[in-house]
Formats: sequence, C-alpha cells, structure tokens
Amino acid sequence: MRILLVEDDPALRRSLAATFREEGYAVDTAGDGEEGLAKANGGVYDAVVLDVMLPLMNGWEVLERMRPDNRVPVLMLTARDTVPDRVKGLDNGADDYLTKPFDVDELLARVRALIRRSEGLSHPDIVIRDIRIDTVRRRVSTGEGEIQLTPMEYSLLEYLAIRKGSVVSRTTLYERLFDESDDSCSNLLDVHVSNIRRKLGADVITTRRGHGYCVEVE
Amino acid sequence: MKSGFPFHSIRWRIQVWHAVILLVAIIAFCITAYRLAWIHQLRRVDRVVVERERALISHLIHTGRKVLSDEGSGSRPPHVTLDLLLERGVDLSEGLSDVFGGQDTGHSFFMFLDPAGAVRMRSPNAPMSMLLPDVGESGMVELSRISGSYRESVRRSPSGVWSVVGRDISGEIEEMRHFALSLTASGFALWLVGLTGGWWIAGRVIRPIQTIGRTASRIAADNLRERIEVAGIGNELDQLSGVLNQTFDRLQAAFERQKQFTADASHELRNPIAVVVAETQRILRRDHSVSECREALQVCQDAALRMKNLTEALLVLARQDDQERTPVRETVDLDAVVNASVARLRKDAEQAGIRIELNGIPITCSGDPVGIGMVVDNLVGNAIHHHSGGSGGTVRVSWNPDGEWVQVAVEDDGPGIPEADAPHIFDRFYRADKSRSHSSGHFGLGLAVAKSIVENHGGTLDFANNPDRGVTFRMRLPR
Repeated sequence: MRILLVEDDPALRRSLAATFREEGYAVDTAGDGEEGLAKANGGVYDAVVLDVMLPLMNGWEVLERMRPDNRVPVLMLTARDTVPDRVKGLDNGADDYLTKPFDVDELLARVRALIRRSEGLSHPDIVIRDIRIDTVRRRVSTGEGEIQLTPMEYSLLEYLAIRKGSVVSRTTLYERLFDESDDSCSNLLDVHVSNIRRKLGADVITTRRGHGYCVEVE
Repeated sequence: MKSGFPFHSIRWRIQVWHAVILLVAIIAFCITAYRLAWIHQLRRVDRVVVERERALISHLIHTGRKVLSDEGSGSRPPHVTLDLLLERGVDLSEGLSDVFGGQDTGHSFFMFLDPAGAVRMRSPNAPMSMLLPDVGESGMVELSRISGSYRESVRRSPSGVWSVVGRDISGEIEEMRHFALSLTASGFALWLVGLTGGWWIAGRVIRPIQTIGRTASRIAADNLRERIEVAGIGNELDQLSGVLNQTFDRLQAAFERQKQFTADASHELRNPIAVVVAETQRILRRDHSVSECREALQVCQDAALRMKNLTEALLVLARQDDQERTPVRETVDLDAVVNASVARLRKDAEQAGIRIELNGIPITCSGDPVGIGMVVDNLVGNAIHHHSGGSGGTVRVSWNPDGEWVQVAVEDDGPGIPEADAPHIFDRFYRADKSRSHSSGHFGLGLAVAKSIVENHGGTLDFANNPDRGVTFRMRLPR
C-alpha cells in the first residue's frame, strides 16, 4: 500500500511518515499544496492524508482540483475542529476527517478502513482457502498456526489478496509497494514472491507470464 | 429594557404630553373665545343702556323744563334742573312706561336715589332697593356694572344724586351659557380627534424605531451579518440606523478578528501538540533503538519549545492588552536598550553575514524598558531575518530626539515589503512569506506584539519601503 502524506510541518510530516512506514506502508510526502496535488494526481496512491493549512495551495483547493477525476480516498487532517469545518471537508469530497492533535492508532485505523472500503471489502480479515490475513494486526495464519512474514512479504501478499482473482502487473506492484525513497532492485519482487510461496505453499501466488501476479480465488 | 407597564413606552409618553398640551391649548382658546363673545355682548347691551339713559334724561329734562317754566323759575343747567325736580318730588315717570316697563327679557328700568341712598324716583319695574357702589362722599361717578341679571349704568351727579339705568341681560346670559356649552362640546370633540391623530402619528413615528430595535436585538443575539435597513431619506432615524450599522460593522470586524486570532492560535498550538502525540505514540507502539528514541525526543523537544515560544508570545500580547489599563512607566535609557538588543542579536547577524550599524546619542524616554527592548529586538531581528539570503548586508539602527518625541529607526537594505503584504504585516499571525513553514519559529506575532507595545506607550510604529532598497521601520515614543 502506498500513501501520500501532504503536511507542511516538517516535524509532523517526518513523524507520520515514519509511523506509516513502520506499519508497512510505502509513504511519499509533500510539504505544500502544489507538490501535494502534483503527486496525488500521479495516480499511484491507495490513500492520501491531506493537511488543510498548507502553503501555496490549501488542502480544500488541492482536494477540489483532485476531484472528480482522482478517486483516491482522502483523509483530511486539520487543526480546525468546528462542525462547519468538518461538514465542509466531507462535502468537498474528503472521505474522512481527523483533527489535530489526533491519536496515531485512530489515524492508522481510519486509513485502513478507507483503503478497505475503496477496495470493496467489508471486513478487515481476508480469507483465501485456509489462509487468513488479519489486516489490522498484519498477521497471516493457516490451519497450522501463524506464519511469520517480513513486512515486505506481508504487504505484497496483502496487496494481491485484496485484489484476489485479478492479475496485478509488476509495474503496479512496484508503484504501490515501494515509495520514491525506496531504491530496492526490481528483482527483489521475485525474491519476496518465492519467499511467500515457500512459507504458504507454491500455489498461493500464481505467475502469469507477461502479465503479472495473481492470488487465485480457488 | 422591558417594562411590564405599557405607559412607560415612548408612544404612551408622547400621547400623554400631546393630550396635556392639546387640552391646555383648546381650553385657552375656548376661554378666549368665550370672553371675547361676552365682551362683545356687554358692549352691545351697554350701547342700548346708554341710548335708553339718554332718552330718559332728555325726556326728564324736557318734562322738567316744562314744569319749571310754568312756575317761571328761569333756565338752569340740566343736572341742577333734574336735582331740583327730584327734591320737589315731581313725578316725571309719565310717558316712559313704553321704554321702562314690563318684566320681559331685555326690559329696562331706571331709578334715582338721593345722596343718602333713598329711592326718589323709579320706573315701575325697577327693584325695590339698590346697592350703591362705595366710591366716597362726593364727586362725579360714572360706571357700568353687572348686578344680578341686570347690566346697570350708575352715575352720580355733582350734587350727589344717583341715577341708575339697568337692562335685564338674562337673555344674553342664557345665550352665553349655550355658547359655553357648545364651546366645551366642540373643544372636547376636537381634543378627541387630536388624541386619535396623535396616537396614529406616534405609532407611525415609533414603528421604524421598533423595527430598528428588533433588527438590532436579532443582530445582538446571533446574526452579526445582518444590518438595519436604511430608508435613504436621510432623516434622524436613517442617521441612527447608519450609526448603528457602523457600530455593528466594527463589532463584526472585531469579532471576526478575535475568531481568526483564536483559530490561528489554536492552529499554531495544535500542530506542535500533534507532533508530540504522534511521535510519542509512534515510539511506544513498538520497540525502537536508542538512537531512534533519542531522535524522537529531539523532535518532541523542538515541538515543546515551539509551544513555549508561542505561549510566551501570546502571554506578552495578552499582557499588552492588559497594560492598556495599568501601564509601566519609568525612565528608559534608550541607548542602553538598543545596545542590549543588538548584543542579543549579534550572533544571528554574524551568521547571516549582516553588519549592524548603530547611530544615536544618549537619550531617555518614559516607558517600559522590557517592552521597548522587545520592540527593538523584533525590528532588528526581522531586518536580519528577512534579508535576502546570505549575501550579507547592513542593518542601520538610529535613535534621536524629535521634538516631544524620540524616534528609533531600523533600516535594512533587504528586499523590502511587497505591496500585497503591506496592509497586513501588523496583523496577528500574518506571515509575509507564505511558503515559510510555521516550524521556523516565527508565528507572525512579532510585529503585532511590537505595535501593541508601542501603542500602549502612546507612540506610533510604521514603516516605509526605501526608495532604492530595503525598508525602514520607525518607532516614535513620547519622551
């Protein structure tokens, strides 16, 4: 999962980026509205966390210019907490709204819920045959018990599992699982896939040559 | 103000005053009309009385002469003749009964009395006795009077004989009574009409005031945006509405400013709080290395320092607002204040490669040394900060007396203040450089604080872009 974080306060930006990365997200950041809008319209994000008070272009304007073409879920972060402000945010096309200072757990839960809803899932657990993926605690278990995956392996599996049944290209996977600060080599993807197959069974991820990877429904 | 008693309302008061004044005017008018009519009536009666008197006298003299010439007594003045005749008791009343007789309305009588008041001759319809006016022993008397229902002309001849000719005026009195009644009735009717009209007019006058009052109370209650409608006639009510609207404009502006200030202050405070919360929660969520924890603590410390600086700035501002009531006033050595300020900022200036030039003479003014020091700190600090990046430059600080004032000027050769920012630089939380993040330690409060300090001293703080480069801030303080 790749997230765009638009926040002008460098301290808060760094802190939130670190939090999301520790949760296994790929995170890009922007320090002002114009940069935020440009990156958001790049179209590679699963969610955008957008501050309202931004230099150059405020959050409302960024949101207004993103919509309606860009359907990425947006969570607004703001220091203004009056009801009219919140209503305005939601009416302007924001999907959720959180006032500063906020609880980090709540922020993470809301971002998870936003992504889940945008993918059409109603429950945080994804089940594929005997494999159960708990997206809240980021754990994978089978009938034999919990399987230890590295954060990258988990993110790859989760991304494919959420879109189970459809083929995801390698390009998309690179876009969605690595952020711009990540300089890992491309073949690492194959390494992660083979590691997952070793841990969960060879048939959990199938390779469609020339197309990409897929988690089959049955 | 609410009064349960409706008679306290302006409408009722106007009505009561209107009623009293109208009543007084109508009564005065009625009385005058009545008096004029009465006087007119009396004059008419008096003319009749005089005519009858004349007829009586000439009849008497004529008859008397005839009697006396029969006796051969010769010619005498008329009143002597009359006195003589009366003394002799000659009955002269024959031939007068057609004028002086009867008891009908408007009848006349006559009567002659001797100096002692005894009746000597009278017409048959005259009263039996007569009360004579108290006018001394002797001399001529001529007067008109009303006695009962008679208008009487009373005379005393030089010899002391009284003659009274009277006319019954009961008809006139009755007429006047009718006149008085109709005057009263029409006056009262007029009064009622006036009252009704007054009530209507008062209502019309009051209505716009009531509208203004209702609008004003709506505005006061919750809707600061609403305004009283101005009819545009330019009358007193329009002026009142205009004044009220201006007041509401100012009130709304102050309210909006306060709201904006609170929003800005809470925003500025919430960001560092959010940083502390986010960072601590991130660290506590899972195990981190010592260096990571140290880094997080550093972030938290920076955020805490930001909050500290902001709260201090807000406190200074609040204290300045408070000082409008209780100002600190002592003799301030301006020379020392500027030098101390510059010493504090010397290091920043050196880092930015900026030279500070000082130019002033020892001078004192009256005020709060700490406050004035803050203003100088702020002006010099801004001059250093907003200097176009790192290429060096000069900041000139000069102070000198100027009549009743002392003036401190801080001049730089930086980029100056853009026209768009000029009207706002003294606003609270206004940052000329929008892209500058608020974590740079500048909240946009410095100049606002400086201005309120200077204004609390009764001085002025303004600025002007220099013709070539840079900007000059001038602080003027009373000495």
